[in-house]
Amino acid sequence: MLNKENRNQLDKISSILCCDFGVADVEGRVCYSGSSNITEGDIISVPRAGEEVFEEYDIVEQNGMNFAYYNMDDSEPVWFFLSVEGDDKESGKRLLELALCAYDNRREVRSRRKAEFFRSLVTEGYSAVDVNDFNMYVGELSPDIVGYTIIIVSLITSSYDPANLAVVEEFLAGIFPSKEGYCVIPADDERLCIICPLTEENGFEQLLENADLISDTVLSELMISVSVAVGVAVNNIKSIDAAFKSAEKADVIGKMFEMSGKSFVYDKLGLSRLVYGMPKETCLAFLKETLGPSILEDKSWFVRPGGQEDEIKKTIKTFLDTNQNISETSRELYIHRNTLVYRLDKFNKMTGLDCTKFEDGMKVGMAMLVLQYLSKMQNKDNKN
Amino acid sequence: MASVKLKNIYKKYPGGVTAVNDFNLDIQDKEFIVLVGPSGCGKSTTLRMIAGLEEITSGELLIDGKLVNDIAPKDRDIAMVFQNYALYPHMTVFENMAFGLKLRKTPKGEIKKRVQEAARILEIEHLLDRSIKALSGGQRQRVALGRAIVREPKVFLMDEPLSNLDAKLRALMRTEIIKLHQRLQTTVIYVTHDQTEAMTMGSRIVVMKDGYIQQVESPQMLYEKPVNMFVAGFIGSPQMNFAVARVEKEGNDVRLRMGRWTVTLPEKKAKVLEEYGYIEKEVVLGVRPEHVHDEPVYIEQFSDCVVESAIDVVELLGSESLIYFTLEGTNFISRVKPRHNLYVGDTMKFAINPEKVHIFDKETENIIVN
Repeated sequence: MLNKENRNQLDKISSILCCDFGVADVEGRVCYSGSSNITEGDIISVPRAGEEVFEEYDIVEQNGMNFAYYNMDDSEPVWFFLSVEGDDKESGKRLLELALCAYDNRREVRSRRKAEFFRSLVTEGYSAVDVNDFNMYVGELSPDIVGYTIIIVSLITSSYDPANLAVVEEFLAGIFPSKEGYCVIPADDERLCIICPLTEENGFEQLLENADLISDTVLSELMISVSVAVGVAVNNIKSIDAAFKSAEKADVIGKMFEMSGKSFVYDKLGLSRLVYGMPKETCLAFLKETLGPSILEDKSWFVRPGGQEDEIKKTIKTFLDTNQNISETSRELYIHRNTLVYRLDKFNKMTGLDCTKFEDGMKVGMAMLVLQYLSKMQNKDNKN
Repeated sequence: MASVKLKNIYKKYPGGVTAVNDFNLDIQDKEFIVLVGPSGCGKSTTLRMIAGLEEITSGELLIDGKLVNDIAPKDRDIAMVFQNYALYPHMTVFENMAFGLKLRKTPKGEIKKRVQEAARILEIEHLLDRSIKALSGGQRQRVALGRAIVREPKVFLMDEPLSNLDAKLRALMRTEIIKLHQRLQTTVIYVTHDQTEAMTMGSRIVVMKDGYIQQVESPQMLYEKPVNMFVAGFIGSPQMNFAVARVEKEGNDVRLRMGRWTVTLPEKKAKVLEEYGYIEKEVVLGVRPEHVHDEPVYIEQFSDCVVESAIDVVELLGSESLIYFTLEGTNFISRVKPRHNLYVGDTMKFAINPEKVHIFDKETENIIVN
């Protein structure tokens, strides 16, 4: 329950207090003692919850000793206890309040330093962090860990508000607890990053399932819209910056290609990643070759910002998404199958491509991705 | 508990696309209303505007009579339930249900009280100490609902919450949500693309297409009195049969002619067609599969509405059979009592119940007479 850092902080506070001061779990087992009168492992009488429910920072006096209810770093509730000689109960209570205040402040400073350390490690790499800090913070991680990855959670523009980031951070720290080895830190003003340990039991695939829950969960609990991207898995935490960079890229590509799914996973970007790496000239040449030059001149083929797609383009996309299944496409678009066949024919006459054939369908699918990429790049250029 | 009012709501995107057009709806306190329509019809956008996750371009949104257009989503006192279970794997059932309240700094005593009450309503009290991993699919879904219930919101917004479930669980959860609504007595706005879900759950249904409301009605009225061909075709499974027919008048009789077949209309329907000048014009006849009969008693009763065709396909469904046939190039389905002596290629007589025929304008696709 108490790590080395917690103990150091308690030692410092205890040395100033000069009285019986310590920490016990909710069952009364002493897990830290700063006094020779009480030994760690002893059982002391602590207030019991019963019908009453204790809140954090509640102070209770029992048998001449003052107790303060407190949640440690890993959210485990404990009792801080303190007793002073004589009958001055009030000063005992005040001292305990001061001790809690001091502990809180030290925890806050430590937490900020830790977040700063991990932010540097994640965004700038191992070479940018202090080796002593690295040994201190990373040394705390469990030996069961076989790898790491990064989840980036970004506020969607409509939810952008610095206060929202802090709320989401607190929320994610609750569902990705530090006691399980996770670390949630702000990457910048709009993004949070979760350092995720991978173990034999909870590997990458398991993590992806949890990542898929984030956007819906944040939305339903906090009414804040976020996007979620997952980077590659790395074996060593020293290479965690590679996981971060890949998650960043997954976020950009996922949004650019409006990929479906609850999270954008770098290892599952498929053709989108390939297209993203293609030079603009190559893209244009491919479109010209596949769809013909006339389509390139028709602006309706490019996605307008926030715009609706051309009817035929939407039809073709749905047809390819449903594995060229006529019935499913007509059901999905709620059009008669004859209407669908008519639109496919129309496209065939325009381009010479028969989407019902695998080879042509594949070419058209690729061309759709390229069109989407070029449209988004164009919109981005226009904004700049 | 609250009423929700949407007045002339529009959602327009910067590119010029209008996702929701002049949406007007009064949702009563404690009502279970379902928004239904094909993908891209604007139902989820409408829900997200109610939640505050999408900005309203123009119009007014009132919750309990209070204008909330500019109120932040978290302050609207609503809860959203999505298709993902969204449960936290590292926590017990109790912790999962309590987590949102803890974040809102709700006192512990209150959290305990609310979680236990929600668990009682959902009948999962015995699972509170269990790990999420130890739960079945249905139990997980209940915990997810429990997380929304403990917040005691004024309005529940549900965006296709059952679409991730298999058919058996979906049917089970449908009943659970209906029961839950009865117990909680709260306002629910439910979005789905599944007309069966809409028909079984909603006290009223809003059918949408291309950002426009098509019809708002109770399930039964929607089924019996559709306002246009879209609603008529969208609601009901198998969907309504449609065929282009010519209106003819001979003596006092008004008939719908499809090639060599005719359906003689009852006086009331005939009068409407005549009144609106449809004689000698083409209309669309609509008839639900259960009103295309094969039993001799109907053949006799509706003798001037009988057609004959060879069977294309027969689907034996146990409690009923579906017979597919073609009439003058148009596909028809008849829903009949289960029989085993139906064979593909056999010629059969079918009687179309003229009282149950819907007639639509061929151009506008709007109803002329139900």
